[in-house]
Amino acid sequence: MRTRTFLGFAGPSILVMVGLMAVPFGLTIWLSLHRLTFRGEWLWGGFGNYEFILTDPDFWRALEFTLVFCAVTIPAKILLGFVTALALQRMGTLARTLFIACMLLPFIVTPVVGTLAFSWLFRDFGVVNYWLRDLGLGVNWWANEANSRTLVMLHYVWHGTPFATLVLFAGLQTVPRDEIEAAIVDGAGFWYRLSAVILPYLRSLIIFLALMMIMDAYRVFDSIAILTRGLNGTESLMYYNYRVALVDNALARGYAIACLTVLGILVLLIPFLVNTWNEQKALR
Amino acid sequence: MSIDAVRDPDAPRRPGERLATYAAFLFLCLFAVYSAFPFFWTLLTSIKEPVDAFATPPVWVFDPTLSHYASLWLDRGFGWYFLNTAIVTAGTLLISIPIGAIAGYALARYPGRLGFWLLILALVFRALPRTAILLPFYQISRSFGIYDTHILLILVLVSINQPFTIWMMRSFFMTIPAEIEEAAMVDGCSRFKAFLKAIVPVMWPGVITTSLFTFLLAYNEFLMPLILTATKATTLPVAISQFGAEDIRFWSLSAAGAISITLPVVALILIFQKRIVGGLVQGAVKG
Amino acid sequence: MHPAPTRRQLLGTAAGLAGATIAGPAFAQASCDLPQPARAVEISTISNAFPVLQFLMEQMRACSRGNIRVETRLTADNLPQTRTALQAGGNVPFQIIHASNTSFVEFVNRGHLQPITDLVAKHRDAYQLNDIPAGLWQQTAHEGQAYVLPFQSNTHVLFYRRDLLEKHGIAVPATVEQMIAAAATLKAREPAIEHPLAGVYGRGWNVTTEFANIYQSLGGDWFDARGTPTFNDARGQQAIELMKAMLPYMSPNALAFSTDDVMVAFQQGRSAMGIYWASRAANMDAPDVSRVPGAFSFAPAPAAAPGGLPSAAIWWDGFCIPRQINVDRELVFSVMAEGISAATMRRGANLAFYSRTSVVTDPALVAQNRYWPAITATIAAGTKTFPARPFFSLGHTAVGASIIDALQGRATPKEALDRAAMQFTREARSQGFL
Repeated sequence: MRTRTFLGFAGPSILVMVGLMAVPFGLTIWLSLHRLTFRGEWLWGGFGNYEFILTDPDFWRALEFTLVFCAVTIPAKILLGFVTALALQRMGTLARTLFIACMLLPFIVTPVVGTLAFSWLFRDFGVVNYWLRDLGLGVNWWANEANSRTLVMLHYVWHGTPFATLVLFAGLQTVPRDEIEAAIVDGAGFWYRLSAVILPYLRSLIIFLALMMIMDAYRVFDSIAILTRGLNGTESLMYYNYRVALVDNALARGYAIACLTVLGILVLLIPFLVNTWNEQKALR
Repeated sequence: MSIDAVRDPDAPRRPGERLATYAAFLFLCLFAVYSAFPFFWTLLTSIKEPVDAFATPPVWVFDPTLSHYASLWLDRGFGWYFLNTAIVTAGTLLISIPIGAIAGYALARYPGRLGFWLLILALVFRALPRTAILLPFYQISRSFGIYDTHILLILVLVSINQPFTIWMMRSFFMTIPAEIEEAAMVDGCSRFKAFLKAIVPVMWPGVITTSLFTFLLAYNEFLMPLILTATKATTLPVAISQFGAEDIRFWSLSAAGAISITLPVVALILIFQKRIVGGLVQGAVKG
Repeated sequence: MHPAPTRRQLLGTAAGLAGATIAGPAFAQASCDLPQPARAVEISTISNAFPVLQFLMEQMRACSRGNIRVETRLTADNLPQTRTALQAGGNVPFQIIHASNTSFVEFVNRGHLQPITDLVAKHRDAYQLNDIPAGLWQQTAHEGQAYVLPFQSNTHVLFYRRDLLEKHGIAVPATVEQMIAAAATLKAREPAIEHPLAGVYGRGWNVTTEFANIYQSLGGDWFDARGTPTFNDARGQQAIELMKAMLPYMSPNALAFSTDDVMVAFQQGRSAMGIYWASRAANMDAPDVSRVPGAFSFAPAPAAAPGGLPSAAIWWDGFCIPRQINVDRELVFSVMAEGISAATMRRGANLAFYSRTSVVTDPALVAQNRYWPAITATIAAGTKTFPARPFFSLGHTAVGASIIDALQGRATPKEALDRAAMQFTREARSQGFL
């Protein structure tokens, strides 16, 4: 394909992305170097905002939580999704349809209300809380860091696993049957089939999933905004950004936090960028 | 490989096979409960009076009421927000999918470095937090006079969605052999005509899957419409969040709103369920 | 020009008379008949979503007739959204905004609002604006100009379970320490009540307001004359200590409690006492929301130290107009005034402690609204509003960012407040206040 044709095909998309995201983002970077007076003037502030944030313990706590959050929820979702996909493999069509329908609910429910509904189950008057206490496992979810973080992560895994399940399930369909049968005939056990045949096939798919998940987990917001509002060390970078910019009304600082957040995710993405470089090279 | 070919009746029965299936079934039941229970509880909450809905021990015997739904749809003009959301979602789909599809196709076929950089750019954009573009968007939209309009929301959602769309479409097109349109081009068609004639008929599974994710994004987006609309173009998630202050009757309204919002999506998913998985099989899998 | 003013005058007088002589709601439907502008006009409002606002906004929406269309947005999140709208410059998309005393100070000092002194003077009789006490007009004025049409006053009062206190022979607490002692008694003797106290201690604005109430009761001033923060003084630390003393009697999840959570705790009989927003008393008792309808009584909030003022502040809420709008301001004012008409207030009498004297001193209505006397007593005791400094909200949020650490014991009160003071100073300098 010639470059001109390429630009013709990809042009509208590039225009939309650059026009509607690069420009606002550029403005964000520019404004992060200013300060906003109460009279509404933007005055040059240099790196003052960055200094403030980098010496704010809340920023570091948010960064720490965000990284912990990614490190815990992404493997959890992939693992849970994979196990569920394997289990679905064994079901008949009707059972599959029903299970998939149930499992998709957390994913398609509007996050704002899904989170609210989820939180009602765990509050003091919540039914899940009540049952846990009956079983002697009563937990006060907002009493300390471990509990609150667990709650937020429970919700996020609840919400995000269906995506992993769907993708991995579809992936399992494409693993060639004959290779599995051959392995069985050779006397291979379940674990061997899994690690030597299935997983290698799904490798690039899992990488794709992990990539998407990192970008989403890093930007987690809805789970926190409604469940805990950042209490007990559950402020993620994005919630911290929202809180400083819109709730505390320190707009200039908010822009600086946004820039730092983007920097952070770019660092996290480096391995994937390398992977994509290799893939595009293979096309030539 | 059809996903319906589940169990080969001639396959040798392996020891523990039955047990594994039962274990899988049990696991799936538990997982289904974990997934669906909050939704089920919200449904119950939406038909209970608040005094029953938020009581411990939980109340299982109660007088059901549809008053919350009535209040929602009749008093609060929920239908109006529904319309706004439908317009914005449809608009986003109609613009985002075509331009994403041709861009994804181009990325799947073009070997030059430019393709790589475009993908990286898209990745970077997808990673942008909403807060990095939200407030400037607000300023820009006010300057251009398109604040609180459907078109603004559509444009914003299309641009936010492009990165994911072009990545996914690229994956789909990479599974369609280049020979298909090569044949048409040999016959003298331009690239675009070849695309229309040869690729479009077979790209539907990928389009449907991508459309689902685009639909969910547009339908469920909260932060953008919250800040970028005032009273005219307000969408459902924002409308829902406007209840719930100072009187727990509003929590019951929110529950009714939650169910009202989710049912259409559930219906859509059930209808297209097979195609969605089929599309995933064909496409992103290989990418 | 139009016969309307005369009609409205009559309507206003009639409403006043009717209200004075008829006990209970007399009007079934909202109605609003404003002079029609020549071209189609759309007026948008933004406000919080309390029940009283739901009600008042309904009255404003009823003014949609012919060429006039009134659209309302109600959200618990109205403060950040209103700020965003006002700070962006240009014509503000909302012509009527709801402000409380703290947000008003912020907005008017930033030049976001327009004075309405002339409109108030012009329509004083038509809308009976003298019915609103002079004191409230003064509180809502800025540099001698009127900016606000206030519709309610609010404060924190003590909510307590009369039946339980009587049962155990506990007197209604007059100080915070007495309240804690009462909670201890209840916890020991009433096993059904697991968490005797409930307070809106949710992270952020909520818990900071609780701090501010107690701090103010101790006589604290947030800033000195020059704006240097003083909230990290001994009184500030003492306020935090008092809050910490209350926490063991609250739910372990108290630091996540919103106003709604406290409401549910009271209504489901899980908590028995608390310093809580008076306006919430309006909807406490309906049987479809409460397991214990009518069980709560109200008194002025206990003082932080013996002989002090109640641990509360006076709040008012009202409507104002942004400086830059592209709609006829007289029409906007009329819609606002319709929203706070005496007739409207009487129809929704149980929803708030309204700004109109005629409404809140009407004996029949006072008898119906058991929480009004507590508010009146709180005002009479000399309770003040929060300091009307333009950077007050910055100080408020700075304390909010650090106070949880102190309440959870991760920092001493002094450390937390000192950190808040430092962050406040930095931000205030950045924003040009200091």
